[in-house]
Amino acid sequence: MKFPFHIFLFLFVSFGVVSQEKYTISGYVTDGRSGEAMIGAKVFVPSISQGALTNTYGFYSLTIPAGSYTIEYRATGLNTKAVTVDLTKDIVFDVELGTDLQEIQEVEVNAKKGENINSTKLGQIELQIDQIKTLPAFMGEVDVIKTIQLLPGVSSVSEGGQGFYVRGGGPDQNLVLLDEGVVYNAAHLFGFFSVFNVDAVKSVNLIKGGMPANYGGRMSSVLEVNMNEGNNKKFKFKGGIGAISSRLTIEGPLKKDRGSFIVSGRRTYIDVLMKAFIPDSSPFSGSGYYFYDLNLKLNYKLTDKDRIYLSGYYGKDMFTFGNKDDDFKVDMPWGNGIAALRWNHLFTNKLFMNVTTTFSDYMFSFGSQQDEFRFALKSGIRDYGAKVDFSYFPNTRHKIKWGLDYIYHSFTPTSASAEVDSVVFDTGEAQRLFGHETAAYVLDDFDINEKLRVNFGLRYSTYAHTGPFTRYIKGDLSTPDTSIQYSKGDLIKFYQGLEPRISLRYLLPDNSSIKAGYSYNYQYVHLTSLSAVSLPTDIWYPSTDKVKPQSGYQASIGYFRNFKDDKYETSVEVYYKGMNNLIEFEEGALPGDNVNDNTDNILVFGKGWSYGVELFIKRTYGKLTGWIGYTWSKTERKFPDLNAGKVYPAKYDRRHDLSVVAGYKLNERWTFGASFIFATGNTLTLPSSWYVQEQSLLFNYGDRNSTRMAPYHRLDLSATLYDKAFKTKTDKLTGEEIQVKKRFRSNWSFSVYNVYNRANPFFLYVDNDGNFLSGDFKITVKQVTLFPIIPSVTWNFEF
Amino acid sequence: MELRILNVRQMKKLLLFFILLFTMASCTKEVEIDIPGYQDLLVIDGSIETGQPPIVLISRTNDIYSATNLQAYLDGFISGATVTVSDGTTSIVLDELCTDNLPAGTEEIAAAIFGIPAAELVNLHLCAYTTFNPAMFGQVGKTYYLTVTYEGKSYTSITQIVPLLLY
Repeated sequence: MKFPFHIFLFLFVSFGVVSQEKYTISGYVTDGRSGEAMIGAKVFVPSISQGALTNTYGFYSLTIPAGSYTIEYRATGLNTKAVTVDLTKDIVFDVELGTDLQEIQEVEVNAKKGENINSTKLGQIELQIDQIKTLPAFMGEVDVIKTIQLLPGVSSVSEGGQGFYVRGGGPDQNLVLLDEGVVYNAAHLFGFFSVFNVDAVKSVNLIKGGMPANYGGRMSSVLEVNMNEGNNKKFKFKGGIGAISSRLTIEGPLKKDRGSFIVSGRRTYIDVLMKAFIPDSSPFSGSGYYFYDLNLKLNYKLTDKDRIYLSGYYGKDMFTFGNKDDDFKVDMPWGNGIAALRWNHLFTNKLFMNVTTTFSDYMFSFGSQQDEFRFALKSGIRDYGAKVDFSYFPNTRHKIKWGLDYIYHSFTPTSASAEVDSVVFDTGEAQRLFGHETAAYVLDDFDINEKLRVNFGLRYSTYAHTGPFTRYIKGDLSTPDTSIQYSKGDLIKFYQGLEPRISLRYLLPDNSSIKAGYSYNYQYVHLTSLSAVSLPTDIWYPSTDKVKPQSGYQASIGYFRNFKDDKYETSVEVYYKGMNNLIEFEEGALPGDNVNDNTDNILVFGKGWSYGVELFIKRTYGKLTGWIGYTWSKTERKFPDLNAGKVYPAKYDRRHDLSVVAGYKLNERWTFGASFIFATGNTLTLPSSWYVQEQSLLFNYGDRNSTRMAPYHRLDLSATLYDKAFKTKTDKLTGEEIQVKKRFRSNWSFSVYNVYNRANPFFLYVDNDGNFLSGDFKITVKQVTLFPIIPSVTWNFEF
Repeated sequence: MELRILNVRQMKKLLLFFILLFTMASCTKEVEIDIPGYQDLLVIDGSIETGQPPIVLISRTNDIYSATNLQAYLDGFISGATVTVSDGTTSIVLDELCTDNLPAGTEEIAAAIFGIPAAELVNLHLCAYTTFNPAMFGQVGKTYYLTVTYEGKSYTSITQIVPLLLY
């Protein structure tokens, strides 16, 4: 634990040498309309070409030599503010942007101008929620994760799915954070909708490579979703009524300019719609599906130096299926609960601290009843976490961060219960696993000279698997089954590792730069999946004495160049990734095999690698905005116990992946959006031959994932019609007609999914029918397509 | 054990529901897709039961898109293999017999073995390696060794007829 702090001390001492008359200007940048913190606003001093960006909480700190300066504050979509300061002592200066009347006109300020060239960020993309909202939405539900899937290097698990793969890593290797709380299952409705209600979301940031040391615990990526804080000036209502769901958001001040709240809720009504189609007399009546979710956030400025934030999410899916003819009924609820309490404190105007405590819960359960037999299966994960992060801004050349992170995990991979006529079966005790995950890190974002900037960091992480735990050891013919019991608190296995992270940026002429990065990661939790699609039945499983932590590295290099006054941002990135201790179920494993056994007894371990090239062109402002992303990649796996030990392609190994996203603002009333994707088909394993044994037809499977589905391609279109922003009123005093800004605003959003009705493959299976003896027997390969062309309309309002 | 089987059955039903749910909004069509990895393998299907002669059927795996009718299956029979069954003490080489050319008086036995009426069976060219020597009919408690030699390669297998335990 001491090790990283030594490095920190070393850095600290080296700064002490620099002694010049320097002062600090610091403060918070907020959006003047709502009082919310501006994330990533630019604070820039043109005369010395130095600046800083605000952090997640809107805080900035800039230490520059004494003198008189004009300081510019810029944020995308808001008016730039310039202030003149005489810096002869430390100054605290809070800024509100975009409050003046000119706000009516669309302000095209690209605050992050040149930031993609300038920063050490490699493989990072930030998305504005406003931009996401104008893109075509599936069934009218604007979706953060589906938009992420349109970026190069990111692909979806399956049609409409929420699971995503980043640069060949599995869906469990993405750290999804909602206000720093970990989201274990970001999907509703078997993955067709994300848990993120866009009305409650402020910004989305994806890190797919060159992960800085302050993030860890996952190997592939970080998806940071920040929730809106709520308007601290006035009450606002927002909502939408769509084809399958509706949502409502209320926000307002707790105390003006000091604190605010936001509550946002959403519910689908597929169950209500389904009722209309299933008559009461039908054996399937009572079957249905719905989900709802709630977001809540409170923030309060205790003092000028202390702020607290409370964020909460609760969402639940409920699927019921009944067949009265069969006297059969299934209930399947699942859901997430996330809570995060954060406290920001400013020790000095150069030292910022954030303390976070988080709670995260994911539960899936399955209950069935047939006649007198009742059966229930539960699976879940619960985390309690605490962390502390420090940001130190000694001068404009360094930005130093360090912190500690702790999570207490409790996993219930499977807990089963069964009874017949109130006779309870012994299903063995619920398998539960407990673990302590800790990490410490330090990093410095350092301008070595005018051209070279380096972000280097080190993370040290540990994982302790502790009791109570029962290890079942399967016997064979000669030895009986045995088990080892560990009691509460016993240390069963301890893992630890160092995770070095580095990324470099070297500025080149012509508004371009070259960047390179290397990161090493450990991951102590795993997701095991029996099916090719992401289902809620996937089980989270921690590291144990038998399951080693996943580990891996990624090396990447990229060239970034902007054209036409940063109107076009382009980049080329190449990456290579190696992964160890990946897990899969052994061949032929079935759900329920792990009852009265350790799930890891039916797991197998192997490694994987992935490499690729990503091309990205983005048009950042103007009437037409959007991007084109293309990825060429290869992702392979090698497991000694799968596919006879031979290398095989991962199921989401995609050679080509192209996405084109465009938004066009015709005028003040109409905005259009389009997205097109083309991707190589996913792989799967199908039988390559048939034979007859014991009078039955049997199949012999070919190599794992050797069959490739037809390519996936789809075009979606959208149009949004806004109401008029002004209404004409007659001034009572002068009798003149004046334009008054309306308080109530609304828009109609139209979307068409899969415009040319492409029958994309969802999965394939081998079917047979006919009679073998009569000669009309036939084996066929069938392709299931999920969604045809789907138009939708949503009405949104705000007042 | 019984419980476990039920779990699996329930879980299979669950997976069925997912498919059902998906198919509610989906469509299914037949596709011709390249399925690589076809391997031409020998399929040896041998059985022996109490009081019954050993029967060994030898065929090959068929490409998934190949014709799947009875004729294709019958044509797939491999003749010319040397099939030996031993009970540890006695060893017998099985005869290659086809149902359209059965020794007189054995039609009914063959019909019972294949589960096809004798009248139909004699019209089929269904071939198998077997014996009518009662010395090699299955006996409880005995262990049987099967050896198949074909195109210079040998394949072996062991089975045992275990006594039925009554609790």
